[in-house]
Amino acid sequence: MVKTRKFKRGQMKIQQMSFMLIAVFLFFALVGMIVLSFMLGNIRESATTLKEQNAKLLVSRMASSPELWCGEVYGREKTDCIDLDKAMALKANIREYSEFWKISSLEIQKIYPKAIPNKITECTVANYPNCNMITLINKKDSYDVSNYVALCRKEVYNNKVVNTCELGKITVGYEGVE
Amino acid sequence: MKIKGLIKKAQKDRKWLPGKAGQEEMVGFGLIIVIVAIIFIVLISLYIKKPTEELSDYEIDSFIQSALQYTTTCEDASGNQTLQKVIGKCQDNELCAYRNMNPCIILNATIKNMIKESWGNVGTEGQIRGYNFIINVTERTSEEEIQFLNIKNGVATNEYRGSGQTLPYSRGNIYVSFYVYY
Repeated sequence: MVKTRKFKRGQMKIQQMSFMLIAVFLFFALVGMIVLSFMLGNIRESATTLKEQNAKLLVSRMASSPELWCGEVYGREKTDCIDLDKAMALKANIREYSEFWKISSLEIQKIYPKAIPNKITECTVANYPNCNMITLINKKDSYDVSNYVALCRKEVYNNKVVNTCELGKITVGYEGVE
Repeated sequence: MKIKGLIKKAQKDRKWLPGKAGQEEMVGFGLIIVIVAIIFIVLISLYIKKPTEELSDYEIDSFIQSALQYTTTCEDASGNQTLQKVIGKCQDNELCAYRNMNPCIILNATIKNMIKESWGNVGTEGQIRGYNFIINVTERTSEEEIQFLNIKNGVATNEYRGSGQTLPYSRGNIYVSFYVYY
């Protein structure tokens, strides 16, 4: 009788222990799942933020890229300065640069002095420099990051070649994470 | 007698054992929950406090830099002057050679219009609630910083972005700063 009782108690203990182990395992699994879902839920957001940060860095460095930078053409070396004449030349050869910066869009817009009438006019060889927008890359809808730049060009004034700099914005588009 | 006594004692212990074991298990389980909760809280706090890399205010920095390169209507023998040169002219009380235009008036109007076109209207319907464009001049002789120009509009709130730049000037240094309030 005593042996049987002891055996039952042992069984009970093992059962208790196994239930306890299952409960602890389930508890940890649940906690782990909650933490994982919380972290995974933010991965998409983090990826988009990372892309945005890269685009911000890119837009702040874009004006210094040799393809657009003023260099010493307009006096001393200047930062945040885009040579509009170079930009127009780049527009004509943009096919060769379509994958160069790995961006969805690239636009340069003149913002001051304001265009009269106040409308966006895309620059072409025919209307340059009497225009206010140069669209270099326009692949698809994207998130935009912009930065202020000086837009400089050479102009003939009173039979003299003079430097003219205006205020503009360079906009870089990047694809978000779907 | 001894055996009987031992059996009785064992029976007595057996009565107490399940209760004690249950209590110990409860305490153990509670401890596990507390430890896991602490780990969970530490993980979450670490995740929340994770330092995010903030970029410097490149936008305002670039705005000041680009604005200073702007070619104004102030014309001299060498041609139209940049905003940076107009600041120096205004400080030196020199007039623009063409039509004797006052560089200080050109400076004021250009900065105001530039900010309006770049940052939009100020106020409740605008993107920004206010701005403050300051130019301070430090002359080499005095080393004292004097506020030379202060263009402000709207209200100054606690939520703002700003940047500044020091420029060389014939008689010292010019410090240009710009703050945008949201």
